[in-house]
Amino acid sequence: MTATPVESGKSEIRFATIPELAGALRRRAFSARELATATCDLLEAEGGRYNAVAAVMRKRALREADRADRSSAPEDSEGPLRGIPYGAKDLLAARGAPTTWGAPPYRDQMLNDDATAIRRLGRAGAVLAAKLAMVELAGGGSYRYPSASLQGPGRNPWDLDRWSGGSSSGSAAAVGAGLVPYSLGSETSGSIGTPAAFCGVTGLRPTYGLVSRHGAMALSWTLDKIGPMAHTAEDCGTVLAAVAGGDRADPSTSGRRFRPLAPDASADATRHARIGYAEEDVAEHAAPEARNALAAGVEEFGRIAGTMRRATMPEGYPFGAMVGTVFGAEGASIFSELVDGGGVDALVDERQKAGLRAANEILARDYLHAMRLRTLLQRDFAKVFDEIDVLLTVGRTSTAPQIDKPLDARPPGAGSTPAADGKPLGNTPLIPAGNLAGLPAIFFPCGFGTDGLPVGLQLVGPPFSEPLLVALVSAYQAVTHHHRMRPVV
Amino acid sequence: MSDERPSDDPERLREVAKEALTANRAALRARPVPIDVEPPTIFGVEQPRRPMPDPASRHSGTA
Repeated sequence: MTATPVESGKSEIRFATIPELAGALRRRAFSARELATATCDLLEAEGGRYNAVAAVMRKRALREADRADRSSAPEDSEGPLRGIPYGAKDLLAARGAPTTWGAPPYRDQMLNDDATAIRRLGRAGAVLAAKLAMVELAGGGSYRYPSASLQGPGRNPWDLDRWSGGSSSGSAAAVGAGLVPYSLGSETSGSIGTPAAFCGVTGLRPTYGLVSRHGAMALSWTLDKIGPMAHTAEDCGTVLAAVAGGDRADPSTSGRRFRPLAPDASADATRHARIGYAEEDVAEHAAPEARNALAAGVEEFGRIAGTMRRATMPEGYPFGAMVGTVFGAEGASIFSELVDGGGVDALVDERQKAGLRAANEILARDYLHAMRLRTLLQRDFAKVFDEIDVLLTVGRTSTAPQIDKPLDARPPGAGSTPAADGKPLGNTPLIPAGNLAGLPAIFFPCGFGTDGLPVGLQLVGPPFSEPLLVALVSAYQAVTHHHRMRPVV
Repeated sequence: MSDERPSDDPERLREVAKEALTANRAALRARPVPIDVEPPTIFGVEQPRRPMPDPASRHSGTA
């Protein structure tokens, strides 16, 4: 079953962007309470269809919506999020609902606190409507099946028999299905990018240290990032502006903030941007069903960018081994009580259980070796970004996989495993490499595969280059319509 | 589908997880690091690299 894409009209509230909803609230087309009520109704009615919702937070949503309706502050003093509902990945603590981390051992966990990102959105007048489903423990033990979640397998809004991606499964599916206009997800290595690509939404992974992780489940202290998912890059920027900044409760925060570029600066930056790209990413590594749409997306992107030239990310690093060793070792410490106390047996996915147990055997020597390689990788990326401003590559090489198949079973041609077949890597390992180096990335839809499922691209820039990333994708989205396509619901 | 995928037998999956660790270890050790390279600080890319300790509070016995 594959949904037929339909272009979302500007009058359609369900798939509206943040500025469209803010405009309607300003015009008093409806109140924040009415919008919150409709959103909660929708989440309750349809969230289960996608296994996207961990908890609908109607009581809290109505309280925050009423506050937004009562607010007499000038619009611009509270910003563009006032009265607009959203959902947050269930790895973030929020008062009013359990924080399950997507895992059966934590199904009743009540954390009487708001994560800093949620508190900041509340301060901006946003309305928390739901906790959204996720892969258990954000996939820390390496899971084998899409079903590795307390809430069940994340179903893709474009085809319920396909996976929504992980680990921010519900965050992407809820936006893709129009249940919420934006959401918060998190990424350790691919958990924003993969579901954004599979569900056809825009996702932004911030620079490490730009957004506080206070109140978020830790999987890896040195890799975890919190970031937005939405219909547009502009919306991701709006949310990022609200949540970014230093936080005494999270010593990893840099103290930097995010502000989108002004329109003139944005146009100028786009015109002059030097885009690095490797042809083999699509030509050699894209799965057959995704290849043409990805190639067309790259070509479209080339028309809005200043210059496109060949450039590749640093080579010669064992990215998979590095990222697996880092989050494995840190996760082994973080979840030691769960593993040592036997609670791990209550997890859903057998591979996840085995992976968490095995991680106890990672040697300090190997962890530190992987960390020292990260130092070299950061230096090598800095050299790459002396020559270009951003790297462009595919979001994922294939469309969303079947929901009932093991994730280690790859159909022939479905995104090659680069090192295994001797083909040049190009920039295809940018997800693990970018995460290891703490670099920001933005993922955005660029069309549909021959199977009717979304495909997308990603841009990766140097630390704190989010203003440029948002400007570039906003320019792309101003002249394309892929981000406005939505599934039939 | 690949014939090499592991079964869902928990015992076999434990072996697969350990094999993955061994493979990671081998891949890491095949990529040497110069002796003067330190791990990055975990405290963000722009934090002071080596905060100076207060000499008065210096004590021994900690790692």
